Amino acid sequence: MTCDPGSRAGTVADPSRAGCASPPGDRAHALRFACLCAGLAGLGALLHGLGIRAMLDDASHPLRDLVVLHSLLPRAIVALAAGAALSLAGMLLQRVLRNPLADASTLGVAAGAHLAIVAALAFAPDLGGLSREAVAFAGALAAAALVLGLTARQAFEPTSVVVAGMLVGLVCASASAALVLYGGQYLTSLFLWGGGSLAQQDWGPAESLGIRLALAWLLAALLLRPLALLALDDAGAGGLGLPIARIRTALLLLAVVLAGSVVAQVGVIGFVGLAAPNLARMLGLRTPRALLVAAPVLGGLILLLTDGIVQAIDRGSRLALPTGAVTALLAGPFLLLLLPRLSGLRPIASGTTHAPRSLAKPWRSLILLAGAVVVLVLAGLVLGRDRTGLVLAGPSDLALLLPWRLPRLAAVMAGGAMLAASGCVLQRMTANPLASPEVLGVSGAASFGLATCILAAPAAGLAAQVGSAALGAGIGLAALLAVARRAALQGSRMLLGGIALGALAGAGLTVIMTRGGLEAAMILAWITGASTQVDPALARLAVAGALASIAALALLARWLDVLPLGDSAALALGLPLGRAKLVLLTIAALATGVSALTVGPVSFVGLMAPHLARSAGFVGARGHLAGSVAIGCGLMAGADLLSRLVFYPYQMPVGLFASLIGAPYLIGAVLRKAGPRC
Amino acid sequence: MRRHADRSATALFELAGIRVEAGGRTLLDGITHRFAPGRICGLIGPNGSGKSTLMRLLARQAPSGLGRIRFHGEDLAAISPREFARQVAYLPQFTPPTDGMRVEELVALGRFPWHGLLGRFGARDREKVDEALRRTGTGAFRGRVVASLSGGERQRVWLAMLLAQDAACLLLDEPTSALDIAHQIDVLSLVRALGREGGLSVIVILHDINMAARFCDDIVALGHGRIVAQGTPDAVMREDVLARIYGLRMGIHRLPGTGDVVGYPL
Repeated sequence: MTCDPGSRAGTVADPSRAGCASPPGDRAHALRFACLCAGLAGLGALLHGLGIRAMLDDASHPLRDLVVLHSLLPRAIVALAAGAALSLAGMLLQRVLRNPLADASTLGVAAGAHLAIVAALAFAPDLGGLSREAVAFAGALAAAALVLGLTARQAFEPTSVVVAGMLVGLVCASASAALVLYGGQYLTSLFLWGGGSLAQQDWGPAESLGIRLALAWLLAALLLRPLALLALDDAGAGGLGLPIARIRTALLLLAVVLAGSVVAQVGVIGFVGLAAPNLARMLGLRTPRALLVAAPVLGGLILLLTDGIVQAIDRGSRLALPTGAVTALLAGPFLLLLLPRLSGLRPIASGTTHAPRSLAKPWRSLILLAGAVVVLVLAGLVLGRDRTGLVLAGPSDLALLLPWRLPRLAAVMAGGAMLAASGCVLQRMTANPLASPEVLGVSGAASFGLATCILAAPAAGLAAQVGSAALGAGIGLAALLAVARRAALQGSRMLLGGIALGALAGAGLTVIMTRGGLEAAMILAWITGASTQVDPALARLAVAGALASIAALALLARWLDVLPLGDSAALALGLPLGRAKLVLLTIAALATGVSALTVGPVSFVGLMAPHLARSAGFVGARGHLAGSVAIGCGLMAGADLLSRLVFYPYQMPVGLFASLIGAPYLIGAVLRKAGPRC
Repeated sequence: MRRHADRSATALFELAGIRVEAGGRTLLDGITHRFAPGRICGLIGPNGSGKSTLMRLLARQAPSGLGRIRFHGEDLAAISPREFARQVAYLPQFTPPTDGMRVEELVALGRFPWHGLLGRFGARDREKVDEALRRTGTGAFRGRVVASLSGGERQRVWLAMLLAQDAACLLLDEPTSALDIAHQIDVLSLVRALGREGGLSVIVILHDINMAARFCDDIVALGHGRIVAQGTPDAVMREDVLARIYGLRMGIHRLPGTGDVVGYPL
């Protein structure tokens, strides 16, 4: 059964039009909106004014007039301009993709721009003669292209777009973290800047952002009519004579340019682009013309107010919080708030028409896979490298090396197996091939727990660290389950809830990281999955967790067989739907939390392994699970081996290495499946 | 717990004062009706009349609103999910994508309410699957991937899954909506044959009044959330009744060969 993209896209447009009102109603909405803006502006101006007052009163400061003129005032202007630019970009993206959740941060655009700048500064500090903005724009464009390419086949179904954006964003963030980690101290400030600090030293950024915003706004105003038509589905808009592909590309480019220049000037600022247009819509403004004015104004004021609050906190505590991370802290709750408004997003028949082949004798392929894993394990144990080249460890060396290599190999393989198993569960449960434990938010929560522990007690031993990570994962899991229950356990909403949780944990992590120092480096190392030494106890824990979760899931395979058919069919077959989903989600989240301890929060194995197993023809739940686990083990064993050999004498973090394998896989998947449905 | 003895005596479904509201709209407005067992009942009515809402209530796919539904005399909500699935099989209007599953595997899923999560898929289960494939004439493509079948074949396969479920009552939500007229006849003939052979009770939503009149024993017509007409096809296929159902002037014509009655807008 295929569902024509038109009708689905039509339902997608619905939530935004929920607040249909008559013209007098429109006037009332406009009045309400104006009042809100006036209030926000007043508060923001008050806070910034207080900051300026405090600075002027500070008699001990010799340069106080200069600070006000060249730092505080431009900072307020930059906050306004950046907020407005991000909201305009968000509003355009939401309109073009017919997705109320689209935004520079949910699409991974901001993270892509950030990565591009970090990479450029790490490898070519003079940026090869290019401006910082051009580099940021290239990164933003690449990330956007990747996300949209990944989801083109699903006709940009909103949940899939956000999930893909989250994945791309995660990879970019972990790659940036790795670069910072290896680039040493001088790049750490870059990480802070990634948190979106609005501190200014001159009027340059304010000027350039202002000019770009004005130009982009004018262009968007010129495209007002096509924007209105895009609320129809493609067939409808095309039928009215709109060159859809060209208009859509132009608007997307405009949004990406806007977001990219904000990143280049002040770093990554989450949430504003998502919140402002949606808030404006919730207030009843619905025509593109009204939104074109309202969204940037509201966004600018929100960021101005947030920055005022952040500055006030800074004055009190001398913390120097990055504003962007603080706004991102608000993103999680806001996403959850938006969830009930997405009732029209049921992925009915969102599956693709092409059916992958299914294996007649899956066990034969399984034996082959298992053989490959065994070979990889043996290679991982005996292969090493010194200055002359590859070295095979003999029996005597092996006795020496085994205590080093075995726990690490066992831990990463168990982590890979658990991630693969949870990915398999999530993909079957949500019938979404992009679902993966990385986006569940549980590993993000685990990182947050660990970071808190490292921050509070840097000298604490492994047990305390593992314990606090587990505690963080547990709290994250509880939050996720609560969200999932509230969202009636609907697949796509569960994913979005997980993403919101992940965004929250990530923002918290960034706030912690801004303190810098040794603790920050320790946390960074862990985020990138640097498992250079693994405690045997941790390895045992991971293996036990892997065995337990896989055994439990194998017992529940019949549920997994029925669930991909959707809630309706599962209910009709007498499946205890709520209980089944809660149990499966709990197992998946626990396994993800434990695996995050060994391979770090991001590795892509949970996305890749079930996907590979599926396209290899493992259709039934049991086969799919077994295939995913075998592939997950193999991938991690391979990543472990390569991460030791390739960059000798350094060791790459295993998790990062796995995501470096994963990223090309994703891109390859995009290129291979480039279909006509755009 | 399954009361076989008084099966024929009690009504299949007994509805009393069913009201459902959603988003400020009344979807069902005081439905009271008895569905008789062992018959094929067509549910008809214009778009938005509440047909699907009613069917989803009967299939326990939606939380019940006000009013009471009894199934064979028992409170509908009190039956355990598995027990209910053994007695009532439901085919949603849009059958879900099956992702590379083979016909045989899909039909075997119909046995879930019987073997459950951990039970053995035994000889009896295999027998039922084979029988379902045979009775729906889908045995020939049992090894094929479901997604590769044509619309009509796929609908037959889903019917086979419902049969494998071995329930005495089938609820079908527009099983013919995506099919051309030849396949509509094909699927509905199959439904009627299956119902007659196995003594099944069938409640089926149909868009086409003439199809309903031709294949159903009873017809229930909904309009604006109420029952506006009910009875045998002969009782419903009258100019005044059709006008009440569709709000249009309708004419009827008795076909010379078969004696079937067809209605058409004037």
